Amino acid sequence: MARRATVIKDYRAKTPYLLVLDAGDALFGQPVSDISQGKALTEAMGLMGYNAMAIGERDLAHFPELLDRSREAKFAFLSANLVYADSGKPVFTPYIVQDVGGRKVAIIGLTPADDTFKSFVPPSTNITAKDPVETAREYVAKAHADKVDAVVILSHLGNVMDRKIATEVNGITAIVGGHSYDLLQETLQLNNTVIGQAGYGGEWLGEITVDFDAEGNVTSAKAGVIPLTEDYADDPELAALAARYNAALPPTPTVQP
Amino acid sequence: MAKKRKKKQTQQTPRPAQSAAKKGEAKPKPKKKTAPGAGIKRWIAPVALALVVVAALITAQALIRRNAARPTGPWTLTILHTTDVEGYLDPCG
Repeated sequence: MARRATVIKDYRAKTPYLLVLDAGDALFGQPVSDISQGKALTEAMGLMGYNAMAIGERDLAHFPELLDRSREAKFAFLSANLVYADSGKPVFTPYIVQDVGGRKVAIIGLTPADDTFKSFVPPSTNITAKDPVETAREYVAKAHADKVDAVVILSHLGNVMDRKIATEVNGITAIVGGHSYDLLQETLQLNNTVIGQAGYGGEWLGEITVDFDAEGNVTSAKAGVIPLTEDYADDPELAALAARYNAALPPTPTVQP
Repeated sequence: MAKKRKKKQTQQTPRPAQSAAKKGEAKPKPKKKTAPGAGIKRWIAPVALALVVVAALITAQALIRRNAARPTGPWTLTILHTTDVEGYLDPCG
């Protein structure tokens, strides 16, 4: 994470048109994150200047804490297709229009609606997931009505669904994917939509670049990943944050031989 | 003396038309009763209209400024992204 922060800072110095996104299942899963009820990752992502994250099924397994973190976070928690079963109202922010160096970029969150949703989400939460393809179609149209310069889908649906959405829904600039642990090292482009996915565990940082001409047309797009090797120095601020949360962990019990 | 008194009496008897006029002067029309808050109600419409006009002007100005500040020309959007970090603060990512 401290290396990731270093790379993000480097990019921020290079370009004003930068988005930093997470495609979901970010906040929970390790002792340090679970004991802090998701605060460790929420704080870290806020420090790194993330713009938004999608809601994954593993995030929803900690629903009350997730709601609390969404209220405190410095970035948006997005899901356009998660709604309350009784009222039909969105549980999280469906999408945002982000100012990126003066350009307007819509970011739409999507959460899996398949069996993984049912297996992770407690029925007591009273939430349901709408069809992601139809939801994408609806919100992409809304985004274009807002006269945005680009539309990004922040998807925790897995690569198969990402391809389906790219093929069936027009007008998407990029899909930032997750859920299926795919490490997409080469550019994947379908129906003028570039698709990226950056593995798992925060070991890689995905990179998507999209070039626009003066009329706003996409002229080229690339996607790949940056392995966060030892070549990158730890960012001191993030290293200190990790040390602070790790120090709060209870000691690991020693096993007697 | 009696003659004078009679003349005085004659003068004092008003003609019917004059009588009505004088009556009118003497008894001013009763003021119309106004409902409580009627004065405020009279101001609501113009004030609301003024507010709407001011709001429209502010919105238009904001839109003009926003469009003026919007950059033009070719540009490159860069997206850095992660996924399925699953609570890892370490190791490398």
